[in-house]
Amino acid sequence: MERAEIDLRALRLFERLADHPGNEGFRRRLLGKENAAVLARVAALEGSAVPGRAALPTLFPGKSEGIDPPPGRVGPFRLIEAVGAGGMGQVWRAVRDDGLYDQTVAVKLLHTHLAPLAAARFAEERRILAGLEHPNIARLIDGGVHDGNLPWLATEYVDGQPLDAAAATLPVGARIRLLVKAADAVQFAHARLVVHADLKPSNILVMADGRVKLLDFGIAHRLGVESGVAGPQPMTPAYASPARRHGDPPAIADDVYALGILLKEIAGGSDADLDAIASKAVAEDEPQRYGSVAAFIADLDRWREKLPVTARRQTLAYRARRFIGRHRVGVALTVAVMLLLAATAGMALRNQIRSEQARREADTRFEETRSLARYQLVDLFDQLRAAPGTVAIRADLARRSALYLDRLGQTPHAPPALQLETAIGYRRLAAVQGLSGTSSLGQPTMARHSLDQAERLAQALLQRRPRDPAVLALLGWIYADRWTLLANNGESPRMNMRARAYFDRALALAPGSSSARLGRLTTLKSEAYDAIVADRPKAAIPILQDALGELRRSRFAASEADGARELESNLLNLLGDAFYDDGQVAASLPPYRAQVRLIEAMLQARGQSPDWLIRLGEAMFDLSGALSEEASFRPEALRAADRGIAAVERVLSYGPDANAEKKLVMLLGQKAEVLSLLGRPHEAVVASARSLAIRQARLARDPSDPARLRDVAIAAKGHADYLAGDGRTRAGCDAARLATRMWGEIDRRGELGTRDARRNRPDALRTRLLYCASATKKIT
Amino acid sequence: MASVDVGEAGRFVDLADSYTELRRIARRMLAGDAVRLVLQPTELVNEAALRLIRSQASGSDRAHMLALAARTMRRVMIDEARKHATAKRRPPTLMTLYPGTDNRLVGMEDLDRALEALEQISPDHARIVELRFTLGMTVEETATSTSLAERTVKRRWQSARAWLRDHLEGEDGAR
Repeated sequence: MERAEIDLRALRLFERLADHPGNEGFRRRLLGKENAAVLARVAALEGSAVPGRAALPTLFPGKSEGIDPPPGRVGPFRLIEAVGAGGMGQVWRAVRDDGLYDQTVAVKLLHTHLAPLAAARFAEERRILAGLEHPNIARLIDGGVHDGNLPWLATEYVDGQPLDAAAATLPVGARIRLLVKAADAVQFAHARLVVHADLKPSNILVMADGRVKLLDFGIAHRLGVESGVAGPQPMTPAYASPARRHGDPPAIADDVYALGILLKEIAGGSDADLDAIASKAVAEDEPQRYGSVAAFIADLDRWREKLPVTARRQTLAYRARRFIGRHRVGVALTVAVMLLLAATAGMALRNQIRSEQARREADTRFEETRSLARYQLVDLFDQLRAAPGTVAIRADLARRSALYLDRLGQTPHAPPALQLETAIGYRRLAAVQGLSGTSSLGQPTMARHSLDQAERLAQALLQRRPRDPAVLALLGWIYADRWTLLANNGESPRMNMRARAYFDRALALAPGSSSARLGRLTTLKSEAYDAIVADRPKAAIPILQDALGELRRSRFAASEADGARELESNLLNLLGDAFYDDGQVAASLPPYRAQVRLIEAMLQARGQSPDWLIRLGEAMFDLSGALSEEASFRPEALRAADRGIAAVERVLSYGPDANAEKKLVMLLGQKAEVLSLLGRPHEAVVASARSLAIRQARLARDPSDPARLRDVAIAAKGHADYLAGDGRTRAGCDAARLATRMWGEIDRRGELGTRDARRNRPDALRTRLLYCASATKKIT
Repeated sequence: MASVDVGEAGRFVDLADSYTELRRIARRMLAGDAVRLVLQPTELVNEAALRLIRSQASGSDRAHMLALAARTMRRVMIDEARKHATAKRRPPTLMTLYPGTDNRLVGMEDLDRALEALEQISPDHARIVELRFTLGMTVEETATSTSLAERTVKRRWQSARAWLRDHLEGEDGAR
């Protein structure tokens, strides 16, 4: 029998025996055939079950050290035991025994032989302490001279552990709280022009209830006052600043230094920010340190609130990490919320089967959890989207959300409000997964799937509520989203018109609907885009001008305000494109420049959010392109390209971002073009090679995405030209071959746009004929 | 399992249904322990919920789910304390009342290990300890949750405590 089996058998036997206490006959019958191992275990269990038996070690042993009996008394205090000793004297625990009241104090005595020398210092300490009434400073109670030659000082008795020992068992946050309390007391003293000058763990005691007391102002120094104490000052070398070790009188910067050492000791290596704060506090060079303990505390407070600390260089990626840290609880909360929501769906289902009463309860709970659902799907996503470097977190949230939405979506006979929420949830999920135009995860296939789910629910809802403007507007947005996932082909205008039809129906029912109005303007934008792509830029211009005019005249609900700014930026961009493509290069510059101003204002107002940085990259690309047409504008065009590259590289420095990457390759291509026009062919090849490499890597990650095929095709053709321009025709031939192969692939899939068929593909073919022919010619 | 909720959905239902109860338990577990300086009951519950979700652990019934949650919360507390313990050998920082007593303390890590060992021998006994001790259920409540007779719950609780004590003392025999 194995050990586990033996134990289980013994447990069963023990229980049966307990049912028949004192029945020896039963016991014999029961245990008669058991083997020795089982019997031994039964005996052990019975032995352990004896009540009242001393069980287990309990609390840690108390600290007790051999103490001599107290030598006597000073003033009204009877000395009980020596609790500490230093170079200058001793500290005793003492009790008041003059019958007035019970009081335990710490009495500090000077070594008799030192008394004549240090009496002045003692008097100084007494003066200093008398002026320092603070909850975190051990209070002065009394003082005097014993027998005419032994000065003594009684302070509040603090029963606690030194800071380092107390901190050792605590998590870092609690350790920092302790240090801040101590630092607070130091700062209080500084405000009264007193420098402690001997901060170290044994002078900062932590009481059992967490209170912190600063002790021993024995070598404290009043600023601006001659101490009257001659000779070198005592100090604790490990905590002494370079200046103190050098023999300078104590100063505020020395206390800052000692606090920095303490911070290192109690929290060193646990957190990069704390290390940075400590390093700043202990900088060898005084001006590099915090100017005051208050500044040191402020940074620790910022750390505790998970805000960026001033000791760290303020990079965006760094601030983003702090942001995520700050919202970790929010993310955890979201999980709890999702649990509740999932439960609600399950309950709604179960309860409908049961009773009407229960169903009403479920509905009530649903209403409560709905606002929480919005928090997760709307607020949290948006907050995270506004913070750089959060793509991975958003991916995780998206994955969790998908699970939760799937569960909600499969709930039959769910209340309409639940279906609408779920459909909206899927739409937001699609945006996170891979709609272009925003910072996304670059998963178009998954985004399409989420939109399918959203539409399935919305259409079912429309069956039940054919005149609900919210449902109609949602369907409009689903089609507007679908439009962004399409390659530029004939399906685009049809999809856009379906979106507009839904928005129009919604507006007919609810003319004031912000969402539907914005949606309708968005379809105008898409129509213009399709016109430009279909090589009809002239047709796009009035559409865009009308849309811009209407947008600027309209007022939108706060929830749509950002969307409206975004749309305005898009409209300006397309207007520039339309003029440019129509050959009116000069006319394209004002809208492009207006767009750059709009985006920069948004970045100014809202912080460096990835979405707007990407938009800046996009705008700079277009501006640079237009500027490069005119020779005298080309240096400015190069600067615009570089500004755009800097903007999107900033986004990418926080972590992968599919949309930023896409913009980066476009900008690199543009930079190559400008460099080439400026007569710098070699640099042009460098930029275009980087652009092509990134595009090929993107295509490898999703080989079925027609937009990525097109990106490679366009870049490869351009690269061929730059190589040839740099005198490398053979390499140019290879690049041109790649371009024509890509166009062939797009065509084979039936996804070749009109403009691509008319212009870009023939261009690639011509390039190939040109370079490959000349390459061959050279060989033969 | 006669319930209509099976698998994934069921376990979420149970967890969420028990959310308030779990908070109460978390408060109970944190009361009187040094970790309360660090962890709030809500954080403890949320962290435990996160771990349960990640672990894909599933409870076949409410009692199992609660026992699982209680154990997970205890692990969270232990991890939290361990994270901050120094390299020095020190007494257990987390003490908890010994099951079935009012005044005896035992190291929470020791108890956790012992319960784990008991579970290897008899999951039923370990669960009863979790419900009775960690979750503070009465014998009647435990009986309802486990569908066992009250008498059986009492007997198993008694034998499980005897086993735990024997196990813990055997471990610490040298002391």
